[in-house]
Amino acid sequence: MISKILMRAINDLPPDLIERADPRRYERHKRGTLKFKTVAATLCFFFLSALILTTSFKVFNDWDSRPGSSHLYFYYNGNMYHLYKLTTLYEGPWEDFTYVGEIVDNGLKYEKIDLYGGFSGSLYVYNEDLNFALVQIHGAFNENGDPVYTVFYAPYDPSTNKRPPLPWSKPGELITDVFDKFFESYD
Amino acid sequence: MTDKKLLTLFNRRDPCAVAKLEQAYGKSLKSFAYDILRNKEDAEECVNDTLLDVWNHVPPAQPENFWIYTARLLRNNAMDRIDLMKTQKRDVSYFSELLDELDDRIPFRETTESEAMYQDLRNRIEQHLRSLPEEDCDIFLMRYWYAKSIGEIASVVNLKENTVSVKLHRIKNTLRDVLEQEGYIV
Repeated sequence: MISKILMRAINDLPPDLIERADPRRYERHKRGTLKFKTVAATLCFFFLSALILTTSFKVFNDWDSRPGSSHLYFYYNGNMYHLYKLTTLYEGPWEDFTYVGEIVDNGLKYEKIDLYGGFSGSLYVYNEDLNFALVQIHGAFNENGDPVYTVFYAPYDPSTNKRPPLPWSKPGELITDVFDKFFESYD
Repeated sequence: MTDKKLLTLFNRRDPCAVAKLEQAYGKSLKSFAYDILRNKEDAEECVNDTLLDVWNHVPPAQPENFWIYTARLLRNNAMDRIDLMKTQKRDVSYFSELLDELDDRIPFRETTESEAMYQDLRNRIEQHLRSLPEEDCDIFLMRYWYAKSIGEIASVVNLKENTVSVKLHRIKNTLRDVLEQEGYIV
């Protein structure tokens, strides 16, 4: 049997060694690591969510001004929606504009949607129940020549068929609630 | 409650001191006692004995780290209790196995040497443990100070049980070599 003096020597080792080897410390460290991992995962989740939300509003506008060849693709919540196809080339002043395109069937119910727009490569969709124009896209190009789209939304009264009054939402403003409401109205 | 405040209560002989100590470290002490004794009732009694020991020893003792101080007293009490359990023919197989595996690698020579020699031995062991990688030293102490099972250690340090066993085996071998050189081992 092991000598008691050896056990005593182990027992009397300095506090720093004993404390460092304390399994509770390791547990705390592990919990700390876990906490860090949880925080990191949460941050990562929010970052990815933000990224997804940002890309949710990505709009692809294949615009070349020819009837039947200009389209608006709308990317929302991981789904691509083909919202609009230009059928009539609009060339007059905006106020005279009535209808220049049609909504492409992509699984959404469109009976509540009227489509307006068509100036400077822009258009928007009006939701009658919610009484606002959902999207306004201004086509532009960055220094690399890539198309840059800005998303707006604004209250709009289609009966007047006028451009929505200012102020609109700010360019690039995240309008998650509005989009959520919009899509919920079709549930 | 901080250790400083606990010490003040003990120095004042405040009757709340023991309760506060138990409040601060009672759960850990019970868990530690159970690791050694592997019996709930014995562990609870051992903790109570230890708390009483702290009351009797502080002051004059002035521990800076109450956890280590109390855990040491508890460890000694648990050893005494194991001796008592042995005489009562009760099962102490867990701790016996733990000591046997240490004894097997380090067949220590029973001596009646002076306190100075004991201090030298303690210093040699400390030096050796400090020379080891931190994790190895911790594993050794988790096993032979905190009486944790191989499985528990493996879980805590996030290694396989076999890896922990191999590490312990190697540490004991190197410790044996050191103590052998110093003539502590037959």
